Amino acid sequence: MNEEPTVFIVDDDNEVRESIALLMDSVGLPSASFDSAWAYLNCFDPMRPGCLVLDVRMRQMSGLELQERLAEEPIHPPIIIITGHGDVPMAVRAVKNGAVDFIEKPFNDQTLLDAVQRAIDIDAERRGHAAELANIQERLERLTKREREVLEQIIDGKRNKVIAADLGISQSTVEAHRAKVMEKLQARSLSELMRLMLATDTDTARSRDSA
Amino acid sequence: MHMPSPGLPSVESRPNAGKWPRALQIALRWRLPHPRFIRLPAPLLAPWPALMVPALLLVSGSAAADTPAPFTLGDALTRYWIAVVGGATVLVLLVGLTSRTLQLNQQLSRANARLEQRQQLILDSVAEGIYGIDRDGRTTFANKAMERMSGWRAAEIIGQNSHELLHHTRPDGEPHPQETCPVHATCMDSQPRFVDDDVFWRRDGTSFPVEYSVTPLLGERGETIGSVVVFRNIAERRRQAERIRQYEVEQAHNMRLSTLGEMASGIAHELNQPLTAITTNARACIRLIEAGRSDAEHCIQIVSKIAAQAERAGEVIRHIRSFVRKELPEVAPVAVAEMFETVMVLLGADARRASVVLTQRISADVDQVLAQRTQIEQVLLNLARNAIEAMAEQIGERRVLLLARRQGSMVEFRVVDTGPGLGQGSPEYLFEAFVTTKPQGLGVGLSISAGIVEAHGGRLRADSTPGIGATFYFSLPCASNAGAETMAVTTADSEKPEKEAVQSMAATVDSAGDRA
Repeated sequence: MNEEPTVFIVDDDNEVRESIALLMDSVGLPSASFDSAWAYLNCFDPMRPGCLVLDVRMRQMSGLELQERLAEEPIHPPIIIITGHGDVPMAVRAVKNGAVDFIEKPFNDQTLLDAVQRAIDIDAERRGHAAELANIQERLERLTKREREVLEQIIDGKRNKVIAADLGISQSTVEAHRAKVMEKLQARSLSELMRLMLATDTDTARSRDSA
Repeated sequence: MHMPSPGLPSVESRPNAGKWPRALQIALRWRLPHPRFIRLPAPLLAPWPALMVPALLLVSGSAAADTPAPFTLGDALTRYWIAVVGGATVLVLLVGLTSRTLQLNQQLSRANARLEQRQQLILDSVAEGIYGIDRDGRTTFANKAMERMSGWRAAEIIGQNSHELLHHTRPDGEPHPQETCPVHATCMDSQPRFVDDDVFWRRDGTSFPVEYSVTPLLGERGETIGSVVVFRNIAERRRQAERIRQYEVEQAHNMRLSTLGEMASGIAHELNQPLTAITTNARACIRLIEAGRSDAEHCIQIVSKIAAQAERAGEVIRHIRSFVRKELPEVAPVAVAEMFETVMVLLGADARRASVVLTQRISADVDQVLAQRTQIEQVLLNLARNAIEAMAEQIGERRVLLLARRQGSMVEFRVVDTGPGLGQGSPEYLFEAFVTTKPQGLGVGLSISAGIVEAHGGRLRADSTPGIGATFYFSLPCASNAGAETMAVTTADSEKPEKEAVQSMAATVDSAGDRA
């Protein structure tokens, strides 16, 4: 997870691709170049952090098509679209699909570098968030079925007595389960437990929306 | 039974009566019209001697007999009344016939005059100049149109050497000797001639472009006694042809401009690529130098790339300029590779946007063809653009191949695509104007292309297999026949169907893709 972020460059024009790679090199950013959308997809590794600088007009698969394909992946590098002849519908489509920037060729070097920096930050943030989520998920999976039921009731704000009545178990058993839940989720207080659960909730809600 | 003839004097008796028959004879002779003048048919002439001889014999016979008894006119009339009556009848007939002949002669000469007049009228009413010369080159006649066009009066030039008056100098200003003059030659060999590009000279020293025909003038025995020249001033026709040519140049130019306009965004992209590479490389180079991370060698490498990209942009501009240049419709040797290059450069971006692989393939024995470069480029561009557009909705492979291969003394050009084919429409309508299958199309592209190919003496044809693709092809003559010995090789190669060519091309591209 501590791998250095890479700038992935996809453009079917050798010279443009090489010049962008050189620009990244000049500011010390590692880059990887691909001459087609397919070439990038073949080497695609969701775990590699960084950002994607993507040309629109390419043979076989255009940049926008690649972008739509990547949107189906759970995680992918943020995308900066570069194009020689941008128009409004194209920009709208790109941004709707989550492009972080839409830059027209020929571009100012600083504009591209700023965009790349922003995209790398966004990626890092996304990956940090994802890592946290994965962590919580992992802890949740350690709970037994009964502990999960108790957790849900706690989140609903029910008191131990009500929970015991609902589940048909003794109040002391509920207390034991509750202690186990707090321990397994590494939550020191009820408010911390609530924050963890809210994070997972928004995440599941978002994945439901996109589905 | 006395029947005095109206032509004879009624004298009763005279001593010199024996002379009457002679007088009659003289009278008869005098009355006889000149035989050449009468020109009566032979059957009518025939009875004359038959009637005359017995009459004269009778008269002379009586004169010869010398008898003592007085022989009065009455006796003579009594005795020879038959001859007298016969002679008188003949005389009357003669008078009648003569007057009739005179009348006919008059009519004939009037008709002759009318005919001559009409002949001159016809000659003069013809718009073409007409004149005749004899074997020595002297003018024998000339019509009004000839007078009008040359400025000479017919009376002035008849009898004069027409070549020296009309035809003394060539269009380029060189003297034109009579020995090489086609009019003169026809007098010599009796062969009719037609010349469509020459000049005649006016009286005032100016010239005018003419086309003329020379026909030998034959005498009564079929020998050539001269020739007749019929000529026409073609200045107006020339001007009209020039106007049409100008218009065509203009139209072809406008067509190219509009084609270029439609491709503007693609061309802008084609320029943007090198510009992007140039600015980005330059900026990166500055950053590397500023950071002290670059040595001279690396910098030279980057700056060389910048120069190469600037040249690449320049190349695109060069192709655009040559494509929109106003070109006189003149056929010249032009390299096939150059024309293909223009199409590849101008269409490269459009092809990429449509995800079409655009490739070219020129057989090794193909070099130059005789063509109007920009026009053929336009045809290739039209065909390739059509092919790209035809595949816009297509799933699966999208390829356009420009093919040039040798076929004898010709080079065959093919534009092959892997599109849906030409559909069910009949191919004969394909090249007509305003026939289109494209929603935005005007349907003039193919008809203009076909027109251009036709102007080059060829024909634009199309083949199509539904679902497999379409091929448009035409041939142009090679600029040189230097490659004739490699013909056998070419023919073997040209047997290879283009589908195979497309597939082998596909294989090359795929392997390139795999490598990346």
